[in-house]
Formats: sequence, structure tokens, C-alpha cells
Amino acid sequence: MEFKVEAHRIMSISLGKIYNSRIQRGGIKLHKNLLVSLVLRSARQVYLNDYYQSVCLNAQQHWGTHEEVMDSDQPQSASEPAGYTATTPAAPAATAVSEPGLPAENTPPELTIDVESFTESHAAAPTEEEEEAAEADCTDSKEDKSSGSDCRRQRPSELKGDDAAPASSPTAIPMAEHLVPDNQIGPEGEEAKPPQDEGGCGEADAVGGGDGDSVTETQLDNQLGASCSRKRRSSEKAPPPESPVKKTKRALSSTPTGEEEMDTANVSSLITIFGSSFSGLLSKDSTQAEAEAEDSERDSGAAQICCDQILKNLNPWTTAIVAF
Amino acid sequence: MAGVGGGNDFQWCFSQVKGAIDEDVAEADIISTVEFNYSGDLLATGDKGGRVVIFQREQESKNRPHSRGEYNVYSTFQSHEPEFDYLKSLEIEEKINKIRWLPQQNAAHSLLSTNDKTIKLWKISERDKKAEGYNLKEEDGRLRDPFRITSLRVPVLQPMDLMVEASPRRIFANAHTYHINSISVNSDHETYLSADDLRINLWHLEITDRSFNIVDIKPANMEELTEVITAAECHPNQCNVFVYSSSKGTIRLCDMRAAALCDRHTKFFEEPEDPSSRSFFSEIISSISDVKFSHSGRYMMTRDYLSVKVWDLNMENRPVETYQVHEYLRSKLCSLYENDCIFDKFECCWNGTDSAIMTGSYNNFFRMFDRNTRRDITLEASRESSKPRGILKPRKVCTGGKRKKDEISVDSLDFNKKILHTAWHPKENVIAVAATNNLYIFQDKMN
Repeated sequence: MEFKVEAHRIMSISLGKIYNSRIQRGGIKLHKNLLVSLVLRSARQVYLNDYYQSVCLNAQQHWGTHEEVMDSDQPQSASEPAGYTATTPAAPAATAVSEPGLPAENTPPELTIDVESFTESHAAAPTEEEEEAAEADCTDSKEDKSSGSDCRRQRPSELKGDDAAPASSPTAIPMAEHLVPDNQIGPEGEEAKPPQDEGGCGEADAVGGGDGDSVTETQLDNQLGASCSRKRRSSEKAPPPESPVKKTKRALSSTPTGEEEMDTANVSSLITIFGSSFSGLLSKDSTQAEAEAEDSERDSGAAQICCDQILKNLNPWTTAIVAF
Repeated sequence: MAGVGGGNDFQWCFSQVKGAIDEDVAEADIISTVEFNYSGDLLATGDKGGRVVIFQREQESKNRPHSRGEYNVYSTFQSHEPEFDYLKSLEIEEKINKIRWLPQQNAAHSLLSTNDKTIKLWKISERDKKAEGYNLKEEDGRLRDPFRITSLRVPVLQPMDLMVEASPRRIFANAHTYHINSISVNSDHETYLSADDLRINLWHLEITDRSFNIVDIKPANMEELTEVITAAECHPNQCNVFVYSSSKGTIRLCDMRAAALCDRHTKFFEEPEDPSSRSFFSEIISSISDVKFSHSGRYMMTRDYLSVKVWDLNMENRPVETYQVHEYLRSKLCSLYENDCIFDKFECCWNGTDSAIMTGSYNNFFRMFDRNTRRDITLEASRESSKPRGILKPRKVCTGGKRKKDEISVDSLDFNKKILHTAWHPKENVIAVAATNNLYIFQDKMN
């Protein structure tokens, strides 16, 4: 538990460093940012390992009761990729699965792919951490909806010590709340967020809601960004426009933390950007990678690379960079 | 009191300190590199403001035969200016990252200085005579009226006050996309290499519009980047050999005879990581910040955050010697990460005979290790302990338990006072230690 708190703290510090490096004189230092991203990745691994262990404990409590209910949802969730604008290949899923320390035996590949499928305009880009969270969530999805969501909610609440809104991105959102008070990303993030939120929420919810209530839970598990946006929406205005989303929300019976959540999407973007960069675990398809490679010729740092990507590609990174 | 660097009675004494005493340190005055030339008579420093200051040792006076000459300012010039890359909207810092002297070939001295993007070759020449009695112009430079010239005369050289001029003779620009971290002059005295985070280029000293890329570790997809080049150096004797260190704690030795592009190393030096000491910051502290060949060329030394390692070029699987510089910081890595100190790049240096090595630490401490006796010593570069020819008192950091008198506890260390750059005279026991904006010169006590 201590490790998780420490890891969480280190992750937020790392993000702050990466952010500050953008405004440092002399341009972004590749070496330092590489090291910071390595620390970020290590901390995230520890954090998710701890989280997954605690989730497993909770899962075992509810396993027997609701297993059959969730099994029927599996096939439907498998068909979901078709409904999404898939912007990432299954490769990241594979790499995430092989990431050390993450139990993958309970992860159906279809669900992992769902994690990768993000709508274009969504703020949060897919990364290994979302895959990991999705894998963690997969066990949840096999249980009762409410218990699964309870687990998820417990994640942030463990960290924040309050009843936070469901945080499917356990690392992203609580970290963001640590960062927001530091006011490092706040103003810029708030400016850039609302447009993304609307687009992201709308599209994600529309897609997510299409498959009905029974799989909404799974969708929510898998769409970390989507859930972010849903939470944001709930914090911005009371009634979500889409009924499936509403049902999801009721099922989750979330208590959104309000404005804090609004800024988290940007931070989650930051995390996804820098968490996956330099780590050899690709979360984008090769065309984007090629564009990066070209851009990186002109750049000297990760943030620059990402900034250039947005100019060339329409992808989940787009909104991430805009947020950045 | 046994010392390091010489015999048993060896002791270090304060000699000089250069720089302002002011508590308020201007960022531009912070020294960023220190280097003796081949003879040791010249000592160059570069600072964050892009200036180079060269000190020259005065001749030993006959009046005081037991005192070595002092170093006095010989030349000061602005080497690099801040620049702006309009294409990338990036500011290029003028900070001098490295200075390397070229072997002296005539009366003038030459050195290479580099910032993040551009390397310059400076020629420092003396002028102590001037010609007088020109036919076509007056002494002040005005042209003489040709009709007024009635006779011819031969200009005569007259002595004048010594003037030291520094002029940029070559500018090696636009070859590095990433930040240059090292330059190293080759033993052939014709070429030199420059290394940035991902590439190493080989230059000819006379040719500025072309360079050969000899190492390129940039991955096709930048997302796959896992390590960067942190330092590079040419072998002191073999002009075809060079090494470069990485952020992963590995060193690669390359032979330029093997291929035009030395992406495949000839030797690969890596010490297996101790799994028991793994932490969040293991990767950061294993990143090598400096690599230096011994003068003999048989060994090389690497500096990572907590230790200095001496490697035998003939043995790749582990270093032959490891010296802990400030092991007491291992438990403080998280705080050092927060205040960015964990990213400090300490340098290291050999003494002239390769029997001792020196590196810096925090609180203006610097450490010396005697390779033969395995003794080490911690000294401090501070104004308080700087009495003329005063003997430096060894310092000790208390790592726990009861703090003895004169010891300093780890928590009292001032992490803003860091000694990153040190240099050892190539022939004598004279060292130059850069402490923020001050340059300390210490020498051995002449008994």
C-alpha cells in the first residue's frame, strides 16, 4: 500500500517535470525526459501491480455470485471493436499483456482490443496503462456490475480518500488531482478541455451506448477515456444526454468529484503520451510512428514529437496534444 | 595524515580561488567546464553565459622557488551567443558544454569549445610587437596623402604591451539535431568527434562544411527509444578507437576501421545490475555521466550518479575497480529526484600518472581515490577553508548514528553547492575544482 502511494507521488512528480521541461530554456532535454519517463513507467508498474492485487482480493469476494451474469456479456463485448473507430492495433495489447508483473491470464484478448479502440476526438490516448487497467477491469467485468464499479471506485478513493467518481484510469485521474492543485496544467488544460469533452463524450457515449446496457459496463471498463469524459460531463451538467450513459452512471452510482475530474483528461493524456513514449511499447499504428520518426528529426524531445504528430494525424493523440 | 595522489605524506593545499565572492550568483557565471591544456600551463573554463576564460600559469619566480606559479587570467572571450532556431522555435543555450584543447603546433594555442549545437575552434594568439613606420598610413591609421610622401622607409617592429587575442578560426555548425554533450580530439591531431544524444560525428579540424556520422542510435520510431549517448571520447593513443557511454550504464568501444558506421560495437562494457538494489530510480543512477580514458589508454573510467568505476579495456563484463562517491545518498534518491539533483552530471578525471582519480559531490565536496593504496579522501572547496597555502582538512559525512565532531550529517548537505567539473594537471599535483561560479586551484604541499 505504501508502495502505491509512493508510486503515485512519483508519477505526479514525473509528470510535472515533463511538463516543466517544455518551458525550460534551451529546448527539451532528451536525456532527462527519457529518464523521467522511465521512472514514470516504473512507478506506474508498481502502482498498477498494487492496484491489481487489491482488485483481485475484492474480485474473489464477489466472484461466485455474479459470474454467470457477466459471461453472457463477453461475446457482445467482443464485437465492440467494430463499433469503435479503431485507431490502434492489437500489438499494444500484446505488449501490454506481456508486460511484466501484470497478470494476463484473465484477460480475454477481445476486451484488450476494446481498450485500444478509442474515438478520434477523445482526450485520453490508449496506452499500456489503459490496457493494464482494462485487464484489471476485465476481472471486474466478470463479476457483478456494481461490485466491479465499486472496485474501480475504490481505486481513486483509496488514493484520494473520498468517494471519487469511477476512475477507470486509476493512474491518470488521481494523479491529475494531485497535479491540479499544483496549478501546472490547470489553466491550459481547462481551456482546451471543454471542446474535447463535448466531442469525446458525445462520440464515445454514442458508440458505447449503442450496444445496450448489458455491455455498457464492460465498455466503461475498457474505455478509460470515455469514462473520463462521462465523469467530466456529469460534473459539468447533471443530466447526461445519452440514455445508455445515464444508465451506466446510475449503475455505477458514482459521485463525481466535480471540477477536479475536468482537468484529469489532459493529465491522463500526458501520462499516456509519456508513459508509452521511449518505452518500446507502441500504442499507435505504424503510420503514426513513421510520422513521428520524421517529426523527431526536427525535434529534440518527446513533447515536441507529440506536438508535431497532432499536426499530421487525426488520432487520439490529437486531443491529447491539444490538451497539452 | 595520509593523503591521496602521492606518497603517504601527501597533502593538498589551497592555492587560489577565482570568481566573485558574492553570495548572489548570476546564472551566467556558473562554470560549466574546466580543462587543462597538454602542458598544464593553460587552464580554460567555460561558463553558462557562453564565455571562456583562460588562465595561464606564471613562470616560477626565482624569488620563491618552492612555490609553483599562480594562474592568472590570460584571455577572456565570448565564445557562444544565445541563438534562436526559428524553424523549431527553440532557444539554443550559449552555455559552454565542453572545452578541449588542441595540441600546440605553433606559438598560438587552439581550443575547441561547444554549446548545444555548434562547435568552434578558437585560436588564442599573443601579440607583443607592433609595426611602426608604415609608408601609406599614419600611426593612428589614417591614410597618408600620397603626394606628401617623399621617402620610403621600412616599418620597424616595436614592443608593445602583451595583447592576447582570441579569434574563431572554424565554426562547425548544423551537424547536430540533438544537444551536443561531448567533444574529443583524436590522437591523430587532425580529426575530432562530437557526440549528441543520438549521434556521433567525426570532423576534420580543417573542414567545417562536412562531417561523417559514425554512430547513430536513433531508432526508426522514436517511441522505441530506450537509451541515449551520454559521453564519448577518443582513445589517447589509438586514433581508430573511441568509446561512448549510454544512459543505461553501458559503454561501447568502437573501431573505426571496422566500418564507416560504427553502430556495431567492438566491445561492450556492462556490469550486471544488482537486483537487490533495484528501485524506481535504478535506471537514472546507472546512467553514465562521464567517461575518460586513462593516460595510458589501458583503462577507462566511468561516472554514474553514486560511483566511479574503472574498467580494463580487456575485460567487458565488469569493472576492475568501483569507488563509492556518496553512497549515503542511495536512501535519499526520491528527494534528489524531486529537486532534480539526481540528474546532475558529475565528471571525473585521472591524475597524470593514472594512479589517482577525482570526482565531485555535493556541499562543495570532492573526492579523490588512490588506486594503489585504495585510500580515499573527501575535501571541500570553500572560502572558509581557503587560507593561502593552507592545508585542506579532510571532510567526512556522517551517515547515521552519533555524529562526531567535524562530521557533517547527510541532511545538512547543501545540494545546491555541487562540484560537477574538476580537472587535474597533466603532469603535476595541481587540481582545478569548479564550485558553481568559483574556480578553486589546489596543489600539493611542497615539503
